[in-house]
Amino acid sequence: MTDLPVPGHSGEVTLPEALVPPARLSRPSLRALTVDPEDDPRPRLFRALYDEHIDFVWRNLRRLGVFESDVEDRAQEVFVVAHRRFDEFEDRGHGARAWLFQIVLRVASDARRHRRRHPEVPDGGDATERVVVEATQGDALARREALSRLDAALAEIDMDRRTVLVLHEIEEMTAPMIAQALSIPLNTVYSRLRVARVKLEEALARQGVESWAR
Amino acid sequence: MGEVNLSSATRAMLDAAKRDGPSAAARAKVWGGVSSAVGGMATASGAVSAVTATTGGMGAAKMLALGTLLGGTLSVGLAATLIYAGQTRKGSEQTLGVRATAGAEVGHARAAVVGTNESVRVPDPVSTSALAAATATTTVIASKGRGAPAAQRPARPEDSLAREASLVARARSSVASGDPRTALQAIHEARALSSRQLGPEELAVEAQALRALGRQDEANEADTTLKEQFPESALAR
Repeated sequence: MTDLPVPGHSGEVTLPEALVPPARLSRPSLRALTVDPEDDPRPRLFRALYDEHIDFVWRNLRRLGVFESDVEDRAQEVFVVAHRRFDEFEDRGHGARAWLFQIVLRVASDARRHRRRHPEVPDGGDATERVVVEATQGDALARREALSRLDAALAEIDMDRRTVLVLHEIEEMTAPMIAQALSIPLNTVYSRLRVARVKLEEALARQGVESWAR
Repeated sequence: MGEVNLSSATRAMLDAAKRDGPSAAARAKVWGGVSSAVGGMATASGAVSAVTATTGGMGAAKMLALGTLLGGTLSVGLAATLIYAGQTRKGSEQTLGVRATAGAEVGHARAAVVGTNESVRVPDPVSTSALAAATATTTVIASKGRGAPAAQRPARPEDSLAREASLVARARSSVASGDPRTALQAIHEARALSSRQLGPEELAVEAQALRALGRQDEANEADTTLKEQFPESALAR
């Protein structure tokens, strides 16, 4: 239970003890509310979960089609849901990332649906503003442009394939891990990944990705 | 895995994506929002009990607002709220906005839960106040906090919640009075708020309004979203 992958790292590391949620805590009763907060480990555990996985949640929301202007709110939503279900979290070998990713998938789906229904304010201008504020260096600007192109290309891939591609190519999860996390057959992971790679290359070629690479 | 090899340019983009993440400011902001929304459990340590109510995440302030919304129709049996009240109270009674404490202020808040039959740890209650708009049976026990009066503070998520509750209430009454367009307008206004906690209620009213306008497909979509996004909500059942 303690061997959970850390986002942004290729290898797997042992999760700090403080990060390991208690196995299947019972739902808190009213009596539990009177417990001295100093004795309640959940706030600390949840904070550790947040610190460890906020980057993972953030970038996957972005890669799954959440607008930049929405991503803060949606990341918050993911962790609010995670908090609500924290007591139900039981590591069945998938790890915290797989559990969080399920929430990310639902939240991202809702965000996309909302944008489809309310397209009048496509990005609220926030993204442009952030570019100005944050991209003070050339490389940061180039990286942002790369991510924009990547997201545009990913948007052309259907969500099932995109999900597998993101988990493998960006989160560096293995095929068996992805199959387990998404509850799909291993061969489906391979086939979706194969098609997604082709589609990604095609989409990027249409954008003229070569010019960015130079 | 997979026989298709990605080009070096694509690989470079994917590598850039691996390093993507929120800025420190965004990280802190999101955490502040989470902490506020869940009623304080998310704080590393608090001077008071973090009320992780049995209803879970969206927490106390939302329950209170829900009571406001449902009015006489539903009796909220148990409501939990974190109330922030300015230091400069005038008299024993004062009108409070719903204030789910956030960030550092959580440590100074006091949590109170008042239900039909159960009362859970009310540390240092100083006065009883009623949310002006509330018509439900929800009772709020206000308690001490620190800081300046609300009027001197910038808008905070809890202010959005009060506004959001008002808009949803307007939407509900508009639907009931046969004016679904106004209802939809109110829902859209609610969604433009900086902080939202009444998503299920908004979706439920939106579905009713859309149905009243004959936009069946969109109404079904709203219902689907409600069920997918808030499966534990009573409104989704």
